[in-house]
Amino acid sequence: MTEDLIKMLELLNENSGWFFDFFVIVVAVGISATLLVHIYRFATGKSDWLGRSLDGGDQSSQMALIQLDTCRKENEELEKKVLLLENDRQELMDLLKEKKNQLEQKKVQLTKFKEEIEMLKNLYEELDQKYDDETYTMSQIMYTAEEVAAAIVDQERFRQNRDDIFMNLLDYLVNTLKNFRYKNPRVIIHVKYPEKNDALVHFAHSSGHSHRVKIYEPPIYGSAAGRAWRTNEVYYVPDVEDPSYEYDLKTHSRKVYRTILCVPIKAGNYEPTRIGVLTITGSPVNAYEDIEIERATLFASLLYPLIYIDLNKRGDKNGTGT
Amino acid sequence: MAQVRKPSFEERKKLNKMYRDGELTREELMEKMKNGLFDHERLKVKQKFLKLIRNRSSDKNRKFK
Repeated sequence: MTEDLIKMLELLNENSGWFFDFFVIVVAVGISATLLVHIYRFATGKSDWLGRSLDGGDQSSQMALIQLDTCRKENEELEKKVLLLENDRQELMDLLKEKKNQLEQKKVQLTKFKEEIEMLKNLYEELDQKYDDETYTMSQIMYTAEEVAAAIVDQERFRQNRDDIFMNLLDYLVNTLKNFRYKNPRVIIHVKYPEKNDALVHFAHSSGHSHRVKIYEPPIYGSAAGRAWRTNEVYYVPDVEDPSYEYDLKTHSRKVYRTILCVPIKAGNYEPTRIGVLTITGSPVNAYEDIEIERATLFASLLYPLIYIDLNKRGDKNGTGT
Repeated sequence: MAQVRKPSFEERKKLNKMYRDGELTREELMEKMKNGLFDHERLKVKQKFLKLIRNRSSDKNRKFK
């Protein structure tokens, strides 16, 4: 076959003449043009040195670039969002901190309120106990007034039960004093007899005294009862062992008290009406509160009519105030 | 006052003795001596107070349930 082709070409060369030359020129121009186009395309970057087109690569890289650009934008947006979220988080954290502080303050306030409520509750309880004590004292005053009235009305019964009635009346006073077991209060009434100028004389006493209570006569000068008599004022000695108080410190005394309270028995503030002194002793030092001293004063006034009548009947009343 | 009965003279004397002998506490003596006398107003107020405290504690319990 090759031989045939060579023969054909030789035949053409022999017989064609100008045609072959023309053909060669055409082929050379074609090849040159193709080479120029190839160089141009390579130079402009439309193909690589092997002549492979770069158009398809451009599209994918552009796509990649677009995608990259989109991703970058998304990333920027996301970063902005992250920033915003971080700000939000910070604000929320600040708010949380503020709320925590508020909560803490409220807790402190609540604790304070609770304490105040507890304090008010305790104050109410204390007040109620005092109120209870006052109403109870009222009942004792009422019974005392009733029995004084009954004794004045029924003189015969009074004459027969005088000591017992006074003991009972003075027990009402003792009932109004707090902490009976601790204070061990004992009450004595001394009166002034006209014929006895230097001392007061026993008139009545509450339960709990020995029989010797009747013997003791407090001197007008040098005893707590005498002092109350002279000054016509309440005389409170919180500690009988304190020498600054006027008190009759008896030798060989078996006294079991440290406090003594002496209240003049009188009708109002008019001095000539005084008839005696009501004395209360108490075991501990400073045994009585102001309210108890005031109650003793009230009972001294309550008992006044009965003592006054009794002294008048017996002709022993000292109305001169001497 | 109509519903309150005062203890009689004899009862009071007995109460005094019991208190002196330590058979009654002061609170018991007070209760028996008063037997409600002079105590209406105090007890009314106390009832109000106790009701308030009860309501307060039941509110508190409800809140924490």
